[in-house]
Amino acid sequence: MAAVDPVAAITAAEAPALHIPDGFVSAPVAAVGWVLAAAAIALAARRADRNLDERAAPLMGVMAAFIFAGQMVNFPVAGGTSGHLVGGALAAILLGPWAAIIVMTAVVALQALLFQDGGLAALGVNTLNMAVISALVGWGVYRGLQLLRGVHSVVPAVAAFAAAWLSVEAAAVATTLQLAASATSPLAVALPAMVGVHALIGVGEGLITLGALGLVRAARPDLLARHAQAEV
Amino acid sequence: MSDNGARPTGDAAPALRLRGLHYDYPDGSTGLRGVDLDIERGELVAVLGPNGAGKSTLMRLLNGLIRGDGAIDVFGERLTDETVRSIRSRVGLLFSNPDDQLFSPTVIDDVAYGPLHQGLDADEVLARSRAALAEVGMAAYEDRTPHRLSLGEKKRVAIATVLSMRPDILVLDEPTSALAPAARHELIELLRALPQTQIIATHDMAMARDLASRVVVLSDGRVVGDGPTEVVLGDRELLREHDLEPALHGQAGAQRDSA
Amino acid sequence: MAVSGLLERYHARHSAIHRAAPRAKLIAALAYIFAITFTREGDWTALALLALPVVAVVVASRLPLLLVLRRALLTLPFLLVALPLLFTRPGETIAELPVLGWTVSDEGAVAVVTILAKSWLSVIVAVVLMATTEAPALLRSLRALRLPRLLVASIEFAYRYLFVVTDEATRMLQARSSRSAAIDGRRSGGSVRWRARVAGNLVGTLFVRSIERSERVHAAMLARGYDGEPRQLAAPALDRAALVVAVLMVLYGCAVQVGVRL
Repeated sequence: MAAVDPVAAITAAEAPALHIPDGFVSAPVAAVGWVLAAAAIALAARRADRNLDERAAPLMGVMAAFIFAGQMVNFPVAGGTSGHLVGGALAAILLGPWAAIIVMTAVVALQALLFQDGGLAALGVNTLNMAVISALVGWGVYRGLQLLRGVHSVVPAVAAFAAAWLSVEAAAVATTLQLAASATSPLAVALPAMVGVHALIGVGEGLITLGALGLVRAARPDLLARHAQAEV
Repeated sequence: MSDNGARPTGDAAPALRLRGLHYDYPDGSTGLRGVDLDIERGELVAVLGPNGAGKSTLMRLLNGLIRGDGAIDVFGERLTDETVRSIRSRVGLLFSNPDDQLFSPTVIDDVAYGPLHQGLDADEVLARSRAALAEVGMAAYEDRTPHRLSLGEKKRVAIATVLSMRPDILVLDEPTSALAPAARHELIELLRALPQTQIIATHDMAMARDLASRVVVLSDGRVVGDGPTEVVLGDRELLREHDLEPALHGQAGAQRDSA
Repeated sequence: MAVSGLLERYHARHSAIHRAAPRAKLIAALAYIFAITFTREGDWTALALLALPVVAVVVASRLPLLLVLRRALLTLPFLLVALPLLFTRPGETIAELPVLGWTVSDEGAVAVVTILAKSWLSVIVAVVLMATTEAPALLRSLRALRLPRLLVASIEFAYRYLFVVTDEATRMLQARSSRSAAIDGRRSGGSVRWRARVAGNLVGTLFVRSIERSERVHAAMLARGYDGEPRQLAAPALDRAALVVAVLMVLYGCAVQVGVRL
């Protein structure tokens, strides 16, 4: 049961439910998606460039390859479903929100361009959901809960899990709203379904994110400090 | 290949002069503890030493990637913050892992990277890149993705990425590591044919014997042996003391108990 | 190779479509897919007219038709999100689900079939783009577009190290599999939480190795004169023929969408 055929693992991870293909979003929604994504990327590129100086390009690129590979790593949960990673919150916690947006955009763009995983006209909304919203929500929740630590003792693990779980939920809700606005999916049916399914998927995201952060904290604590402090 | 005629360097200066080179790692441990070394123009020097002897550290210092105490003079020019970029043009560094060195989507992008950053114009960049690829026998691979190449091919392209910058000195870190015998042989022949001064850090004693005119033994951050290849490699006592296996035919089995 | 599904083996089949400038193909594909997106529900005329140039391009590209069609079906699972429309759209009942008693409306069926057709046609365009263009050439064409340079550079580095890092991940997954023996009849592999932690540790290890790799890559760039200013070979020039065909295709797409609305 725990034995995983790596090739099967890749194909399973190749079609997470959040990559919207072309044809499912209307032209206005697709266009608005492009505009919002472009604005967020332009801002993120400037901020990431400033925070990371000339190390930025190789770091972002190899990190995007890492997220891409990290999405291959899954684990069986129950009944043939498997937990796997989108990675937006993990990238944001490890690299900061702006760098994470660039990294996740590179991942989503490569998936669309090279693997037809997600559409081209839909690339704007897909980038918005999986790169911008998931990174910003993941980072915001993580940082927000950390700030609360003074008031109430929130364990960092709880913050990381909540950040990962909510980042997936937020992306799923955004996806559902875009599909509903495109008259592709009736909101009354789709919203509970997507929120429910991603509540489960989010648990996998949260657990993997936790495990990954735990390992980084043990092996290279300096990396957590380095990238978490420099941002914003 | 060399176009260093106009450079402001004394003719008498050696290709490389190292004085009192000392380097501490960021974690506080010591990498090099006072290395003095002169390397003449056109020399082909093998730097041998056990793991952790400081070979890779020395290679990175020569290209200015890391900075230690002491002096490095390249053709009489001191390596400083001001000169480091021009010295990187003259001292080409080959990394041991070509997957780290070849970071571009295609072979030609990678070979052109150095010349582009030297500020050459586009035609010159392409001309030099193609010439370098031809020199290593990889002219037909311009548009290939590095990932699709064999390790031997990757190493050759990695050498081309350095040659396209027209360096006077090549610093090579473990050029033959992990290569299959045929690819290793081809690589050695390629290095033999190159006119540059070469400093090769290696574990490959057979290559050192084959290729180098001079061998430097580095151990625990110090130069412990330096001389003509036959002399150093003939000094069994020295080699055994520093955990270096003599590259003699039929000796592989005999070394087991010395470890 | 770990990353399956790349269409690289079709690059060897040379055709005019293969030879056309990647930049022209990329922009044309994107704009044409946008034109398809404008199709209204049940507008079969528009869909048929939009399909014509796509069929022509597929034929001209000499790609195996079956490959293109089969590949296009990959997005089918996503149709799940649109299926509720069958039951929720008001309209005349054309079918009824046996046990549940849900009714399928004609309007709902039209909506779902339209979505499927638009999606399918769009994916075919994307498949032709990828199957006739080498990935590095396609990515290099991004350099000529007005995108943030950091993003373009990141995408190119990502493409280069995609395979290196996924190979690394695959080796780690195989190592995990080889140690995960199961005994018949026994539940094996530990709790979900434990399995998640193993997966998480794997991802964490991958991250640490990737950070260290990015540091070595940065060193390799510095060694060859990198000073923070990324310089790249220019993207290949646009060839006029490809540009003309691309513009014509996009204009045709727009004309169809305007025409059917008159």
